[in-house]
Amino acid sequence: MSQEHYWKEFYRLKVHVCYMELQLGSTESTDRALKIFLAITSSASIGGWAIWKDLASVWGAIIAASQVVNSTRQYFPYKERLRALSGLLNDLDELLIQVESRWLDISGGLLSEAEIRKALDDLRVRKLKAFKKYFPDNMIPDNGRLFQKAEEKALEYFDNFYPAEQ
Amino acid sequence: MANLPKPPSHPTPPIQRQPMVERKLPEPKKTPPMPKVLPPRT
Repeated sequence: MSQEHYWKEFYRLKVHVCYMELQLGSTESTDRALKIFLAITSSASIGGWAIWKDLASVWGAIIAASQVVNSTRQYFPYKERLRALSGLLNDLDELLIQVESRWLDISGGLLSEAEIRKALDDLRVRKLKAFKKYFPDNMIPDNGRLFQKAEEKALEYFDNFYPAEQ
Repeated sequence: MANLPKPPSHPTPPIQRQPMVERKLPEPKKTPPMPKVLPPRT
């Protein structure tokens, strides 16, 4: 019973680690796109292209948009989110290594029921602390598409390393 | 001197320990079947 419980928590942790990895990748992409957009719109050589003589209103709109982005970007959450996700992933990766090692002991019958329950509590507490540390306001971005992808990644990992029939 | 509120006549109930709630993350839809394991040590 406790072994099954630990197995489920182990898988759950793996899914959440994959999800945070994908969140980090997505946030980095958005941040990079924003920086590229601002770099392009502030480039005098691009602004001097002959094409803009015919499309002056388009270029004007792009410049206006870039100024709005530039003046409001300090309020965008990307920078803080990047730092939080990166720190959280470090902690969760470390936890995952220890949980996986503990699972090998548990599956090999090396731990008693009481020890497994204690290991389960330890896993939950450490995971909770990591999330509280980096996302104290519980502002974890929600993205169903990324979560589905995270589940697929985790399943693939478990299929490879822990096939049901051994 | 300002009127201070009177202490409650009944004893204050003990603070209930809140159950540990994890940050709200989506839950996996299903868990892969557990591989065969040895029974826990007795």
